[in-house]
Amino acid sequence: MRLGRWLFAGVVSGGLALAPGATARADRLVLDWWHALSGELGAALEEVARRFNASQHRFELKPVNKGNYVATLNAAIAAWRAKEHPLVLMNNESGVLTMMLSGAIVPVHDVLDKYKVEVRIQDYLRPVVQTYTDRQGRLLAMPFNSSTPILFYNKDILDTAGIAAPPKTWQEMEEQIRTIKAKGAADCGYSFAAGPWQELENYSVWHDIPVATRRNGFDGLDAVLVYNKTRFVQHIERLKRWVDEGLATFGAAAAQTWASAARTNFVEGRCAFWIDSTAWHSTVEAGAKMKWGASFLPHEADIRPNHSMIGGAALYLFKGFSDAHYEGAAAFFRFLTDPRVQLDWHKATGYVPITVAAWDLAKKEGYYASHATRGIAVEQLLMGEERENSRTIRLGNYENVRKALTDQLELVWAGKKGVKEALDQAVEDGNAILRRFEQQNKGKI
Amino acid sequence: MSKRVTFRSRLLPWFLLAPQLLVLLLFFFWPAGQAIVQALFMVEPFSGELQWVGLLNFEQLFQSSAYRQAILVTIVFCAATAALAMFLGLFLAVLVDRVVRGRTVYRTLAIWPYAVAPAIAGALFLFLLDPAMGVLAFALRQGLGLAWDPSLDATHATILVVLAAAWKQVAYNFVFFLAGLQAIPRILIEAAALDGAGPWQRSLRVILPLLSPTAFFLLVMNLVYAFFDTFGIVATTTEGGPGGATRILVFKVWEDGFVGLDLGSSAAQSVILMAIVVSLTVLQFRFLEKRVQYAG
Repeated sequence: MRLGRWLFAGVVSGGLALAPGATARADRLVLDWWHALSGELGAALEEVARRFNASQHRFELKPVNKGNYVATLNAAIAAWRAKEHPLVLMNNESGVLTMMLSGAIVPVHDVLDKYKVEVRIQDYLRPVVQTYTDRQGRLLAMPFNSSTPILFYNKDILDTAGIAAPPKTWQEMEEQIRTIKAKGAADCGYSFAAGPWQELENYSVWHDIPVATRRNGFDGLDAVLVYNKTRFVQHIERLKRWVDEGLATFGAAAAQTWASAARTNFVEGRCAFWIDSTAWHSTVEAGAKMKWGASFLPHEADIRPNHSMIGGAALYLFKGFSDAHYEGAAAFFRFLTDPRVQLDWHKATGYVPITVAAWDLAKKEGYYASHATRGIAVEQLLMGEERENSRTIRLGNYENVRKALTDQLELVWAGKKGVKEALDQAVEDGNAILRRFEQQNKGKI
Repeated sequence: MSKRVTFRSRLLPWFLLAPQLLVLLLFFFWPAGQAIVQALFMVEPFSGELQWVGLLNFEQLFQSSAYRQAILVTIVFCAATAALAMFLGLFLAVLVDRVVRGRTVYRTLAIWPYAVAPAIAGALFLFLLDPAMGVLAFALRQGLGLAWDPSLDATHATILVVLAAAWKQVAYNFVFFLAGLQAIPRILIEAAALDGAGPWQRSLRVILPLLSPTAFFLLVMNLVYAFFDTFGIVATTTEGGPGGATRILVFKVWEDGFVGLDLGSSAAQSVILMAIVVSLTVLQFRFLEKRVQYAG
């Protein structure tokens, strides 16, 4: 797989180098952009860059794929130390604190202000922007690719079971799965991989339940994980019970290669329900032989849901470049927020558009008449209001904090540990990581 | 006993050694020294800014249940990998040693896996043992009725990484064992046979003792391999899961350093890993070597 990606990157860059007019002209200023998208998504990204280059004649944006998010960030760190870093770096939502405290970036709002690119936060999808703003509400990074999980369902299975509409609540979902099993419509109810993003973070934000104190870390580095004391515990207990009763099927989150098991089980028509990123739309559209649909995330019957949270990445600007470079970056960001650019990106990738204007344009053009389920994620992000625990999750070394939870959850599904015991351990391990991060970054915010 | 070559100039030997020493210095001693220094600090990933923390990195590691688990996992993994790889290597070598026709063909075939990179070996075994589409996994399920699932079952996952790691090393062991077997003078074996020793006794009393230097060398090499070079196998298969059951120390060094960006802790872990392997090797030389017979 890795080899494939390199080959692909090679072919793409080789192709670009050969394409007439794509070579950097002497009078154009080259803006390097390191990114983490490959395959079809990488091609869509290259297309954005190509269109920006065609839209003006002063700057030449040069995207380079550096592997996945982890590899891209590590390449950028090494490059920064060697003073050979790119101007633009794409980094995912779990790395906001790392980038914010790195001392290596120019906050995007500074550049936007200086070059008079007006960004009115209210014009954007709030959960998207909030992920990348500082405490004053100013943008640190330019949101680029954003998605959110939604509920996918197998319409054929629901029809066979005589169920008219997908569930709105977790309680309804359980009843429906029981009906499906009773009627023999399917063996597998809920196909899940228990990724922390889907089951912990979005579950918590959706219900305005804290993952950590201090507004999930937004207010300070001294935030403490508390998800072993919230409704999340009952959620995992429910999932475990579903697994034991055969209502849910775990699809391996351990290895990248196996993480597709939950998805495959759904796409190949074996399972009735599956929750994952809206960005999987094209995979489902291409692979599913059955009739399927999508809907909002289920919520607890006694809680009014708020909005879900995003995953994805944003574009950071490194220090150490000339004014002209930042002017180029500002021009690129202005181009990026154009509704047409956003809408085409939304269509090509399945990520959500980041502005309300692009969402309006999509509706006006009747995009959702033919792609009804692709708008669900946007609606789900536009719902609700600003609440205590719904702003964002901003915790240090967060990938490893997530890993601590995944480790423990695997023990739960395997039946080796009780839910409460496992979550207590995950929180203990996660907090140890947070405390180290706090000590390392003492006094920085 | 030993031959000693004397140089007239005292500088000449150093001069001749210099290229090798330079490589060692640059690629081993310098990074190792850096790791030891970094282990005493917290390190800011971007600026490389150091914050003195003394032995805190080490203290926190030994307090962490995840790290203690990784140590246990590593011990089991290394022992199993080395044992399996050496046993299979010896087994194949004995077979090939007895073959008269086509020995070169067998030998060449058995050496092939060594040319495979660990990450590729991992990918191969992942493919064979993937619970959903692996051929071997299918055989296990259908043939033995075993609910094979390395994604959730700790034992299955361990078997998967041990198999992949051992498979790759079998070729290496095979080459050395075969050479060792062929170096045993026929005359000794024939003499033993004349004295009435059966095949079993001949293997146990004559061949094995004479093979012990090779076996000892291979034990050291296999353990070092299992400790360090198996990173790629874990990275391409289990990624340390399920529940940390295959998170060997070297994988954790990478995970905490490059995914978690906790370079101080990662450096401390490298130092511990280094210390473990150095002390293991010293122990092996002090205690096991006494039982090794070098003289032919």
